[in-house]
Amino acid sequence: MTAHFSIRDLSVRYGMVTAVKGISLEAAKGQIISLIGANGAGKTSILRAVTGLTQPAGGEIWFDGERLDGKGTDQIVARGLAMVPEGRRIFPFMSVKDNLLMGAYRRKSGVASDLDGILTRFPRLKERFKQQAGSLSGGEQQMVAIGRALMSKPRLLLLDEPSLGIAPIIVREIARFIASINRDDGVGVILVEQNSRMALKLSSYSYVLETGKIALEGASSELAENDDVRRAYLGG
Amino acid sequence: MTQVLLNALVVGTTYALIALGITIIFSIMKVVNFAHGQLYMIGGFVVYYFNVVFGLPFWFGLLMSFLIVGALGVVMELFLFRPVMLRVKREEVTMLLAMGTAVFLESLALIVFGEKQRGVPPIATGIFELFGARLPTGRVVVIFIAAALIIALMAFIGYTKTGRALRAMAQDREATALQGVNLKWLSAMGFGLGTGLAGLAGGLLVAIFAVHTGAGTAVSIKAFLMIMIGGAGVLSGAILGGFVLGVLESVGYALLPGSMTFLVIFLIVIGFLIVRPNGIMGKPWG
Repeated sequence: MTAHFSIRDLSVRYGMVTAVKGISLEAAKGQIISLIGANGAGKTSILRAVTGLTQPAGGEIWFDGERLDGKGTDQIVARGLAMVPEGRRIFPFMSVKDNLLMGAYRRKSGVASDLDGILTRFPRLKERFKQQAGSLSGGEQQMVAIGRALMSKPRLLLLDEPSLGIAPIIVREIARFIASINRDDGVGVILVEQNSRMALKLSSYSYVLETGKIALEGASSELAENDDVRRAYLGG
Repeated sequence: MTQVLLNALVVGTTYALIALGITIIFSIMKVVNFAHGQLYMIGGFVVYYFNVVFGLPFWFGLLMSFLIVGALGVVMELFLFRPVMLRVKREEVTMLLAMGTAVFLESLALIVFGEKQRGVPPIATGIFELFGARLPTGRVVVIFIAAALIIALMAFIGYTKTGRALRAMAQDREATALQGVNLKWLSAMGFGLGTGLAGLAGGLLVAIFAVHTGAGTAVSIKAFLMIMIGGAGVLSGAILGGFVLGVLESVGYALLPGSMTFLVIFLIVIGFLIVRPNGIMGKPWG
């Protein structure tokens, strides 16, 4: 069986430290999967390897029948992946508008209407459109980061801790948004989260990571009922 | 006084071009290009060769000074700075590399161009008068060309897709790569744009002052002064720094004995940096 997106036996090393120790996972077209686990479990390292920001030490990454590992980040993005990196990483000294337009860097047509689409979904960004992105609140910056990623019209969206440091009410707004782009536009999502409750609710399949390995995996609804998961990640 | 300010305008607009070039390189590569003055000098010789030796129009020489010195910058980025920056992380290494490049370019220029001072025929004749101050028309033309180039550059950086990507890269390289930007290509292009501006400035000023192979060192130091005054890594600061130095220099030459001017300017800049270490428009480093 060949999945739309798959990782086979991936390992990532930083100097002497092995952050990811032979992980395999997959996602079907248009599916939301989540990677949950504590800080340092290797979640971010997996996403960085997928987008080519970190060269994997071993393993293979496949997307839509093409091998991604070894390719440059720009080439990987060109194949329909987009990532909202950890800590948002918006361009602070640029307007919200320029941030969003950066996301459309590789595109030639339909940019204006997609920009409208993002602003309709995040009306707050419309109010802040000409403002420097660095002056926005954390939640608004996260909307800019997600909007920027969507401006590339990805088929697979990687989200690294979208709820980190953001007010709960905005987290719910962002969760609804992720669900809607998945439902309406068929964008697949790989969601990395410490907020396991949100991740399990949004995704259909989840992987639980512990110190660079997959400790547990299964349908998200089942994992949410699993006693070990509840105790370790959902607070009882 | 009008006369002094007019002179300041000539020097200031061209200095702003130099400072903009060094700022673009600094903000995208975090490299202080101490070879900037030498690239400026080469730009002057390019114009001299095309205009005087080959007998082609001045504007064509100017275009070539941008293209040739820009291409030289691309080569410097690809074959000198990038390989070194991939291997070492310490910032002083790239500074030494830039200084070494400066010495190399100056020595090479001495071999290729010789030690003679070179100039070009006046690009315009006549005298321009404004409120009793007089300025050769050629210098007025230089002001307008430099101002047009600054406006064109700011429009390019501010409103084009590539300009936006350059600004993004200066702020966050990884996040820029994640938008699908080929950083290798854009870095080389940005470096070439910065050096091309040095070439243009040198090419423009050869119409006023002659150029010789040793002219670069002073320009490198001045360029460094300008970005210290204006604020390193900020484009508006570069323009301001260029004008401030242009005014200081013109006023200094009008009021002080020639050799005193830069002594006084250095003292002023040192005093200023104690009060405002980040320059007029600068943000804290890092």
